Amino acid sequence: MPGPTPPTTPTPPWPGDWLRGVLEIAVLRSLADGGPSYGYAIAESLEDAGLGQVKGGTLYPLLGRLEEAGRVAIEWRPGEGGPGRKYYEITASGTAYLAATVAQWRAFARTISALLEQPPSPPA
Amino acid sequence: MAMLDPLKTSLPASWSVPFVLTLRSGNVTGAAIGAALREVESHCAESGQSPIDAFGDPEAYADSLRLPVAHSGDGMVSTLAPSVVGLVGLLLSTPTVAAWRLGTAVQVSTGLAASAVIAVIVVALAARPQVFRKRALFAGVAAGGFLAVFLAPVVWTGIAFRAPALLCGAVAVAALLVSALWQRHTLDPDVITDPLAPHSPGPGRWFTVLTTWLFPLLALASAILTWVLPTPA
Repeated sequence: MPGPTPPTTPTPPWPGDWLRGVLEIAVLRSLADGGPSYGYAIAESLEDAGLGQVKGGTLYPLLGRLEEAGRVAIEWRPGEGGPGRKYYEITASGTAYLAATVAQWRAFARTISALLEQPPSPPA
Repeated sequence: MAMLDPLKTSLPASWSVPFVLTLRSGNVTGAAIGAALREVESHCAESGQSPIDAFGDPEAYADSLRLPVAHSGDGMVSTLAPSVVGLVGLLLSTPTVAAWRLGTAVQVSTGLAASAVIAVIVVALAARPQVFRKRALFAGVAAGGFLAVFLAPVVWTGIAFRAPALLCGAVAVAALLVSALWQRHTLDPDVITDPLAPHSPGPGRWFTVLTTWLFPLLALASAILTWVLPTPA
């Protein structure tokens, strides 16, 4: 007789609202760790990190906003036998913004974890 | 940078054309449009996805991008308005030359006056994003408008008003000159460019000259024909 099914670890796709909240910090983290990169490679690194597949229609507008805000710098380079690639590199302003946002995010994550792990209060 | 033809990328025209039209309607610069187009092309080539799968609806995707705009102003209306003024000058010039030749007053027919009004309405309609973003609707408005502008003088031949040839000539010449000078001012040389291709000049000089002086040239050709051809008995 089979025993009880063990709880499974949730996997992507994550709810869209959650991803929208963390995508900016995740992209900047990817650029800070891996150096200059282009859209498709950034999407792959996010997928490898466990965020699931990030669509171009979500990623590129975000990269555009980061570029507009001066948090990344861009450079076009010829592709390897294909179309050119637009490389994104995190700037000093982007690095400072990432550090501040990571600190904020950690505090927020601690707050949420503490809230979710509270034992249920006994019924009145 | 070299000009980039949106139809000559590896993207299907059914996606790239509405994408570029939507960005153009928002006054996005040619350089930014070229870069956005190449980025979509690059992503699709690397991922093997179609643009509709990776980026979704082209118009919604274009609207989600915050790209640099060429200049403020009222976009399509200010771009098309010089052509309307030029068309009015062109429509007025032919009966004016005919009247001048015969030494009579200019008889502006109801149809001709209606043509001018229809032209203004059609341009105002066609310039609305709800219309020009939908190719079938835009084609319908443009074709219907074009037909109405040229059929109105044939159908409504009654005389709307008479005016001295000198006055009409002055109005026609003024409209044609204003149209050309306005066109030269608003003509957008901001072509879509390839972010990676070496620099090349924009559209040729003759293209710019012809676009700017199209209505005066048409009016001149029409005036010469009206002057030379035998008058109807």
